[in-house]
Amino acid sequence: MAGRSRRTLARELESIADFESPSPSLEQYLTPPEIAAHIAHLAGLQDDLERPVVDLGTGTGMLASAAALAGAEQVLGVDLDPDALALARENAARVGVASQTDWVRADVSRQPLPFMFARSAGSATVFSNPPFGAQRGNRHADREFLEAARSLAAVSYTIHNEGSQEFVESYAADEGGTVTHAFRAAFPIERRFEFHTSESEELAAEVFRIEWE
Amino acid sequence: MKESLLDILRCPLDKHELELEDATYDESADGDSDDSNGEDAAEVVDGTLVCAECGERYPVEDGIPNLLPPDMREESPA
Repeated sequence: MAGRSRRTLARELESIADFESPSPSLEQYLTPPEIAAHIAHLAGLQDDLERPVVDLGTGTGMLASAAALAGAEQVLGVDLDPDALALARENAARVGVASQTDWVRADVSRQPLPFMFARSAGSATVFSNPPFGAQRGNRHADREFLEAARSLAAVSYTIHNEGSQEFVESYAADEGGTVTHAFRAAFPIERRFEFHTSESEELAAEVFRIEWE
Repeated sequence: MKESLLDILRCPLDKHELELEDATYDESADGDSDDSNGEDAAEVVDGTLVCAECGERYPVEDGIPNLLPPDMREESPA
């Protein structure tokens, strides 16, 4: 399984289907295959796919499928929305990783999280493209996902909106984590919800790899 | 859900282990014969997860465990 190039991963992930009727309040949209491929490829190089991988707020299952395609043997996708989970499962089967992936409905913002990963097995690796908290009333959504990552993972990869570096680094430092990698990625978002103003905008996203104590 | 997932799942109220009851399995195993992790791949399509400590029950709905805490769980679908 291992050893796929980023480009090959991204191409295979292009068959992941998008939401049919996305929920604005959950900020549902397709994570771009290129970003998922970038994260999964880096995680493979860092040996982070040898742990169980948990995708928090999996949505279409993009990051979960990417992890499995890149070589993770056990991947768990978590979401609040049962329709998203059904879609994610279909998508994983479509790219041929049904047997490495599993799906659970849970609320990532509520502690304790209903999972336990053995420290002896190196805990877990978290992947997450959380809601950016772009919408009113949802402002600290990505903070809750970071908190969930910290509570579960030895290492996490999270996607945030532009300008999050200071927040992510100070959160990590306060909680005994270290940001080891940070990179920017273009994030094309088609006009989907009414609060999006143009046909297609491009957001700059920032991705962080954090090692937790 | 694969039965092996029970090793990871915990009760969202008290984080104790869950036991699987009244399980129905998918005998046909899903379509992609690409992979061959045969052993723990028994697919649970229906059943109930029960907390070994507090006894709270969580449904497996269409093969996906619903581990929302009871106050967030909607009643059985119409």
